[in-house]
Amino acid sequence: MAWSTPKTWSSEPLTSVDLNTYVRDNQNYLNLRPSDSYTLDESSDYSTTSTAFVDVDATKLAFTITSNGGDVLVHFDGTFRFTAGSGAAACYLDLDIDGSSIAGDDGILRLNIANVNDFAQASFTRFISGLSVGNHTFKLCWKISSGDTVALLAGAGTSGGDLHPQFWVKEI
Amino acid sequence: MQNIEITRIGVNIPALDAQLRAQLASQLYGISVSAGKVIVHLTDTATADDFVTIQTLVSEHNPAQLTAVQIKQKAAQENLQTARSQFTQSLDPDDFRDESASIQTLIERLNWLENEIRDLRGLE
Repeated sequence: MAWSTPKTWSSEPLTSVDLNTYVRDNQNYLNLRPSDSYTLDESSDYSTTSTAFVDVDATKLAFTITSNGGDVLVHFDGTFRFTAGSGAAACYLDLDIDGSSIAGDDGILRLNIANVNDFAQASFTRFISGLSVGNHTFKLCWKISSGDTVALLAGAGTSGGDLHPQFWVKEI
Repeated sequence: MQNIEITRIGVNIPALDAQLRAQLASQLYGISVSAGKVIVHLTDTATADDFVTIQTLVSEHNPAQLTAVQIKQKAAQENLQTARSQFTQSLDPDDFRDESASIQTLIERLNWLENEIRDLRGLE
């Protein structure tokens, strides 16, 4: 269903066609914005040693929505843990939209985790504009500093870290 | 980037990463592990032979085999546990009354540090 630019009315009959197009359909459009979400409650946490951006989970933290060409909000919140390595670890987050990094370079944000076994929290909401009408796929990606292992706690029952991150996409 | 997904339960992540890097350093970005699978992230230059090497290394991976760093960390933890079991009593300042004032002050400060550490560890 697409948005119809509201009509400028003049002295004319009020027809069911116009009412359905400009009132019913436009209100449905506003009410039924494309969106998707997932809250993690998994059997194991996610871990990576990758120094290049890779999908956190190409199935569960990846959404395809049919955009009407409007702006889109993308949000993630979660807790990470530095599980192996030396010194401090850096964990970078990025968004992949239709196969391309939204931010480029080192992504959207960086977590610095000082010591092994320390936790770090991340949360971001990103405003995406200029998407074409049609299907678009959004994926959460991460990379970390060389020689380190970082985990995203995902509700796997980790002691003191049985936490549930959320990733969502919504056209506004 | 190329990704190989391999079903595998029980992974010593730093050890497997090190094993793969020893064989494929220039082709490997790293590994991701979750829910009974290992994903190996490779550059576009990785070859079919590299894929065979990876499959072999992952399937033969022994998670009980520790890296040098893990061995060192384990030894340090074991030494700490041994020392904790050996030194269960605080130093008694009365045992050092015949020592110099400096030594007695040192004993008092050691006892103070020990109490601070016990407090930080949440011990009674």
